[in-house]
Amino acid sequence: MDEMLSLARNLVNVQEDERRIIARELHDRIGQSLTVLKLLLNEAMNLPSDKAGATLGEAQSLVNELMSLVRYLSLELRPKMLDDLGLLPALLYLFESYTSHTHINVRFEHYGLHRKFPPEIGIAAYRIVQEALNNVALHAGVSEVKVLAWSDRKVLFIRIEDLGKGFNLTGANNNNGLNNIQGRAMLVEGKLTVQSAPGKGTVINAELPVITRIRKETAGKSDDNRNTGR
Amino acid sequence: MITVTLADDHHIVRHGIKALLEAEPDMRVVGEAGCGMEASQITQKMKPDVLVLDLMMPDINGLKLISQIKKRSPNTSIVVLSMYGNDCYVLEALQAGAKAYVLKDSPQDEFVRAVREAAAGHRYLAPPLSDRAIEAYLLKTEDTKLDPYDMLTFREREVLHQLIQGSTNVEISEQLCISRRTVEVHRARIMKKLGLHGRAELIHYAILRGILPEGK
Ligand SMILES: Nc1ncnc2c1ncn2[C@@H]1O[C@H](COP(=O)(O)OP(=O)(O)O)[C@@H](O)[C@H]1O
Ligand SMILES: [Mg+2]
Repeated sequence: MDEMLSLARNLVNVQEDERRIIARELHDRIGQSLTVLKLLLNEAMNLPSDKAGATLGEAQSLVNELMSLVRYLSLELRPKMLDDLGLLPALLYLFESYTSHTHINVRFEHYGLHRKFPPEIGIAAYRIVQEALNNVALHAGVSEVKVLAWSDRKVLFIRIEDLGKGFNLTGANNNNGLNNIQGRAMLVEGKLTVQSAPGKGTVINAELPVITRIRKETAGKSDDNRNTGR
Repeated sequence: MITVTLADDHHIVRHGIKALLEAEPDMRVVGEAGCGMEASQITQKMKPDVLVLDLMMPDINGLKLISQIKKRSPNTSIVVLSMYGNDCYVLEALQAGAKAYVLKDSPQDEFVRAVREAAAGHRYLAPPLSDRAIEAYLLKTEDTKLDPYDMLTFREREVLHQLIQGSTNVEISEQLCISRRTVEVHRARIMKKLGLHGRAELIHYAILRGILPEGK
């Protein structure tokens, strides 16, 4: 029970963090750009029409920037592709934009992902990969990361591996990233482990049940459901 | 004469397209729709040569709409007009039955060309989209070969490592707090996944893979 409570608290914290980030981006970057845009348009209106070209050009490039920012933010909030097209296209798209932003190459191997997954499994899988990749970019110091995903009838497996700096698992971790994806895995009755050591790289492993089990009293059958976080 | 219906939830966009198409002597816009439902109805009623469709309609998923309209008006060629040029959307749209795909920021003549090509029954992707890119994407979606070792579950891997160390089923069941029967099931699955028969092959495999336990 305690575990559930702290999990719930964690998720709320994470949600608030995410909102804070989005709010800041909305205010600082989008708000900022819109203000500049307004000024530019005002200026263009007061110029003779043969002189307004340069100012309008500037305004236009600002609009392009804004469009790409809005696309990025909406992808962060909810990857639309996941709902429209499914997990595999959403992951492929994520890798493409990840690599173009970070210059870290993603080696992706997958098997059996053409099926439809329940929405909560799809989003959990997506967020796990996303957070793991972000961590690789922030902390691992590598130029390549390997992502494996495969599924059989019952389970979706995900593994993200890097050969980078690694870290000490026992070090106090008040950060929300890894806790968040642990929680996400738990909420769908899956499990997630993190293996790492300084200098040894990092491996994140997740197993998410595809068929949502009917909750039953699994006394003495905890073997396969245990969260073996190490 | 090429007859066209337009579907986009923004009036301004429809207005612009209409002006563009009607400037062509051989094109005529015979209907407009502001949502997916309307698009479906008007196209079914008018049976135009071409439907120009925004993929992101407020009411219906654009991909579903394409296959629905292809059923109801099979001779209408669909030109998708979209903000999104991601290969997967293009691919899905083509697979659903669209003939052409144009980005909203493509040059105007590309757009007119797409309508013309689609009306003639040709597939057309306006640059920067290309068949090459779509094929490359398609390739990426194909299943890759996975190392069977990577496909073991946590538990199977634990059991495997114990087996390699020479633990008996009983020892493993005590170590991992699972029943002997469960150990047997895990063991059988591991051997099957790795394509191994018997202990000798298992050890050989462990050596080859470099997964013999450290300090032994
Ligand atoms: N792939 C990785 N490589 C090296 N260190 C990592 C990796 N992933 C996580 N870490 C370490 O674990 C810590 C906790 O990660 P996380 O919970 O995601 O928080 P955050 O990314 O916000 O710091 C990180 O601060 C980092 O020190
Ligand atoms: Mg993080």
